[in-house]
Amino acid sequence: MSRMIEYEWNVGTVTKLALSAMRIYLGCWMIVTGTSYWLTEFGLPSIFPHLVRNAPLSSQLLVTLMEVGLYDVVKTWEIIGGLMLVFNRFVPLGLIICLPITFIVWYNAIILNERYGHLFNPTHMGAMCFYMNILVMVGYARYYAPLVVTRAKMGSVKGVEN
Amino acid sequence: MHNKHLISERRLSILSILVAFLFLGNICYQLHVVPEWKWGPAIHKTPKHTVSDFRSEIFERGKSIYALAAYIDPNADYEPEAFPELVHGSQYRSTQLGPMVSDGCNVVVVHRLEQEGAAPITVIDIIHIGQRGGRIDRMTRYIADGRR
Repeated sequence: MSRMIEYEWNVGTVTKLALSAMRIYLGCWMIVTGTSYWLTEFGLPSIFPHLVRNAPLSSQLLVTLMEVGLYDVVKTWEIIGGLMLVFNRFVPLGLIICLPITFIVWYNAIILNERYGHLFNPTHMGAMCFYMNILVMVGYARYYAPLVVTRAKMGSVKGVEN
Repeated sequence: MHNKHLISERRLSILSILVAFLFLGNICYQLHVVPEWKWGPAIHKTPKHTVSDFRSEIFERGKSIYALAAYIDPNADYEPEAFPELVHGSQYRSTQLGPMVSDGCNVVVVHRLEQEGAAPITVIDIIHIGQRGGRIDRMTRYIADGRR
């Protein structure tokens, strides 16, 4: 028997719905971008072309990532992180995995490509993915709050609340 | 007074998976169709890789016409007479004289062009890969004067 969830229509519920939609959208976007890259690695047609011919600094970043093999790592974690978000499993961890990726995507899309006009363009996922990542993390802030501790002590995981 | 409602966790999960499918379809469509990519042979390759493949088509496979049509943007900025190896049936051989140097979208190739019955010439090609389509949109050739 599935567990029943009680809710009422208020600001809290609408906020949760909006953040859940963002979580799923971000997850889907990560899955698509990661999968598109791996499709080409297996000789299959990609969903979209991966741009390595943007502004010179952006191109340098992407070319270097590819040449040193880190692009493979990034694209793999995109898929793993995306699946976590879409299937609502280990979401706080999935968001942490996605954060460095979305930040670099944002940095590449806005700073390196000098597309400052797209900074708050809601249709430009190059920028929006990072903001979505942050916003959804705010929704799960209670899982990150224990990380912000001034004097941390070592110890086992015993007693850590789920 | 607010009305309380009940929903099962399973129903919520199924609903979120359905939403995910909708999002996936939309994202694939937006990324595949809407930006009107020019699906050229240079996509998914680094600029250096692109130029390397371009050269292979001409000098190893002898497919100059294919290389011209596939790798070079129809509006590319270059002087066709400076690139005789792109003419159909040309028998040029090329020997690269140093590493291919890449800086962003620019690739520099220093090579010796040879054809039977003609003196070899050393040339420096600066090739620029254009945005959004992975094709060469600018090529400049300098003829080296042989001084060291």
